[in-house]
Amino acid sequence: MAPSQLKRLLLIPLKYREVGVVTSIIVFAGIFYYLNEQFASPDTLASIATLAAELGIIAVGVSFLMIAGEFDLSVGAVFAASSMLAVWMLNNGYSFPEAVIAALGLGAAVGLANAAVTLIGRIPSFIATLGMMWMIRGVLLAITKGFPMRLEVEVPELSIFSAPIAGDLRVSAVWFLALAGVFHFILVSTAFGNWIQAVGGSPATARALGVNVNLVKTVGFVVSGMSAALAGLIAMSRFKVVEPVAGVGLELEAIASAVIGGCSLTGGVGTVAGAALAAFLVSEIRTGLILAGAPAYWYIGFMGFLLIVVGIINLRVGKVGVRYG
Amino acid sequence: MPRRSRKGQAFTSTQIIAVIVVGIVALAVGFYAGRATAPEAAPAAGEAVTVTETVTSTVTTTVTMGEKREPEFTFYYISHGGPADPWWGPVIKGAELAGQMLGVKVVYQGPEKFSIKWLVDALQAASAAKPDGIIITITDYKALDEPLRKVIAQGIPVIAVNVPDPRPPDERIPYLGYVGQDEYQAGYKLAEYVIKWFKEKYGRLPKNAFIGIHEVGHVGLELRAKGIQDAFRDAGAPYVPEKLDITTDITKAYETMKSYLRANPDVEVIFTLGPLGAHPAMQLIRDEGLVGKVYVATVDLDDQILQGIKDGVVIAAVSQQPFAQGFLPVVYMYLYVKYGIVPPDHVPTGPTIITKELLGVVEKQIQTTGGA
Amino acid sequence: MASRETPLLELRGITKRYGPVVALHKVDFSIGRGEVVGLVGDNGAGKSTLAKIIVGYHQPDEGEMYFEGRKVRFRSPADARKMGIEIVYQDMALVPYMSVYRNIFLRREITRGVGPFRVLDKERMRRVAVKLLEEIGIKRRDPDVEVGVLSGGERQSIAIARAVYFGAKLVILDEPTSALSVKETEKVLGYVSQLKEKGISIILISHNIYHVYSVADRIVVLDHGRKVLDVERNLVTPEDIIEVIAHRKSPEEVVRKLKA
Repeated sequence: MAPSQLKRLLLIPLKYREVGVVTSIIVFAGIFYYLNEQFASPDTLASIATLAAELGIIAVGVSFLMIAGEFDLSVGAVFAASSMLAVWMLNNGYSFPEAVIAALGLGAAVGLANAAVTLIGRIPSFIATLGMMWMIRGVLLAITKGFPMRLEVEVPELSIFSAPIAGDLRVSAVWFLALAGVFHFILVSTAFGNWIQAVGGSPATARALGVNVNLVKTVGFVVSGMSAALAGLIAMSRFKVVEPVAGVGLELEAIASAVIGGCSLTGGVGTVAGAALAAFLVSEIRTGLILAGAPAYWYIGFMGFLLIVVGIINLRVGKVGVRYG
Repeated sequence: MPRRSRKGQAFTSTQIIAVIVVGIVALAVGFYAGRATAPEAAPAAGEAVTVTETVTSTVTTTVTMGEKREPEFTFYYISHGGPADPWWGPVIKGAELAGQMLGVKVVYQGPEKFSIKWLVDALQAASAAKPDGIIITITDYKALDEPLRKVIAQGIPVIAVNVPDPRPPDERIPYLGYVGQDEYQAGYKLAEYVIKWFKEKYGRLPKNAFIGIHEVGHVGLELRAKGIQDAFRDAGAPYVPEKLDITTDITKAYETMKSYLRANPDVEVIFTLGPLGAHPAMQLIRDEGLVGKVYVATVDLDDQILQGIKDGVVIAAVSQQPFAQGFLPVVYMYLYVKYGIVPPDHVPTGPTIITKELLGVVEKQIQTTGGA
Repeated sequence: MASRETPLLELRGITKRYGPVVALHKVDFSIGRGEVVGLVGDNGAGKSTLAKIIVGYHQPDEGEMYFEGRKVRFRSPADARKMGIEIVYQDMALVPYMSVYRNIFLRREITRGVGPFRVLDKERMRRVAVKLLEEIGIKRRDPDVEVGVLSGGERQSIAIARAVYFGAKLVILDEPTSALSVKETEKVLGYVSQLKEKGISIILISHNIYHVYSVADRIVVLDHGRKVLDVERNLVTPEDIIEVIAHRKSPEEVVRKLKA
């Protein structure tokens, strides 16, 4: 009796899909600290948090949608488009709230369009949002002719997105934490969260039980689009300039974060907290490798390796955890 | 039964309408925004007729001079640089202006995304149009070797621009000449100037330096980086500036360089290879209160970088004169086609080192050409 | 029999067409309280169409439906569910990646709090889940275990228990025993008998005549959209039913045998 109980106790953490990413965060922290003691400094941690914020906010939206069973490849393009819209409006005399609402509204509108094409047009979201991504990029490049768009006016309110709070820690990290917390809570502790998981896990079952599958998925698309818009605003508020190529590749990084954090590509599995932690892990590794003095070109290869390793861990651990749950 | 027919057909009319509506809305928004923000397309809008066609992945700009005057010649300007890279803006402008001044039709073509295959396809399409001359970047001499030789054999003159065929003269593609700078030289000269500047100011080399590269594996950028490293080697520095992958994402670039500075507090110079690296580097130095302690040296110029030179954040910037790279090949092609004047083997457009002393001149250049 | 006079559900002259194809032709069907009816027939006989009409997924082109003596028209599965009619599909009854209690309460979550701040009352949902697992007789009574690791029979039973818990008076089981082991099948069929004793009516759709035969009170055979046989189980053998389905014996022969 005692050994089996002990085994149970030891296996409790395996019930949580975040276990792979949390373990990785701790292991890498140990390695990087060993290589360079500065890794444990508050400045470094703040730097990681800032770096994690933009990717993390997008990963929160993308993982939310992925759990509902759909992809969003247009987040990188929305990231650029929404912040560019805000810059243009601010430069042309619109007020700060107007610009912010318009930017977030653009994110929501793209989300709705993605939902319409995917759900009404019945085109896989992978294709629908890939098309959306190219369309938005094309429009941005055509409008700007490739030139970055600069904020030409002073907008003190922008500090709510990215001003430093203490030392190197910025408001953006707070936004990230708050959003991750809120959406994790929605997913785990509300009826709507239950529907999200059901819709992603088995749309037919959800539909048979009376869940409005299309509505739930549409909300997911809108959340994803708006999170990308918010991340864009945060980047813009700090650097006051938006490149038309800003956010290229972010969509894949966000999906990678979601997967490292325990989301399944087929939907229904994963948590928002896991994706958020994975965004932190990705930033930790980027920063840690630099502090450790590793040849800089290794980073991307390292990320690929990590994605595969954590992917395997998640798969195995998920099975073990379920069996002994 | 509606339910039945819905299954039978691939799409119902509602579905098709939904997709079309979304598409139209997106295009309308784009069009409206385009009108609202598009920069002035042509400097002399009154007398010039400017036609801009956009084909999915290609930007084609056609310029003709005068209202009714027929262009004397048609030149194709094919490059690997499209609208995604603002560096090519002045190039396009320069080519357009030369075309207007000489009464020549210049068709500029550049892909939206870097692609050698696109370049070869565009060359073939251009040669089929039987133009009077082709100006092209030799971005990949192996891929372009055969098609270009064929074009030249057909009697269409070719001028290389921006990137030459690096092989010895008797092996390389027999184009008339090359207009542009040497990427390696750009990096080398920049680093050479920085070393000289440090020696004059502090009587020594910089204690440490690194190179922020925003597109790893891009041959042009890697050559610039190699030039910088070699200049340090030749100057007898005890270290070689390390390459740091800063990506094209501004937040990542900023935090990556910040971490590197933390790990290597003796860094005194940050080399960047374009505005995408220079902007976050300048902001980092200002944010961290490192002005006068850490300096930026960069390739390429824009208004932000000029401001940096003014403020003493940037020691120097190298310009390879994109406007001239647009303007000059058109002029040389015109001279060849009309008067039979063979251009020189290499017409250098850079590197020019831009420092505080040259600011006045360069500001005028930026105002008139949109970049440097 | 009382249940015969006021059936729980009665269908009269149901016809359903899909374009030129007639899926059901003037089918009469009824089921009493606490009755188990086996609905059998070859592929394409119209079993699923009939089930989908009963649960409101499809609407009949002709015919009338009476539930507890009152005429009803279901426009959606939600309408039927409100009256206490539920269907349980073998492979899509539950979401495999979700826990038992989340599955049981899917779309009928228990929440506490007000307005938009309603939060799942997980403890209450878990307690109910444990109770249901106990009733079904599943040994591992952990409401947090993912449904995906349970056996097919356990899943099937949980789905049925869920329907009954939420007040279903009539449960339709679509192929409940296909792909189940012998032992599992026994468990599910045992649970069906248990429910019958509680007064729940069950329509059992299956290819396996022996499974149907072991629990059904009455057996209805459909063939090409028509009802060809409707008999008390005690009066026929499983072989009779199989012969009819396979067209080796006409329904009339079976009926004649009955009379004799």
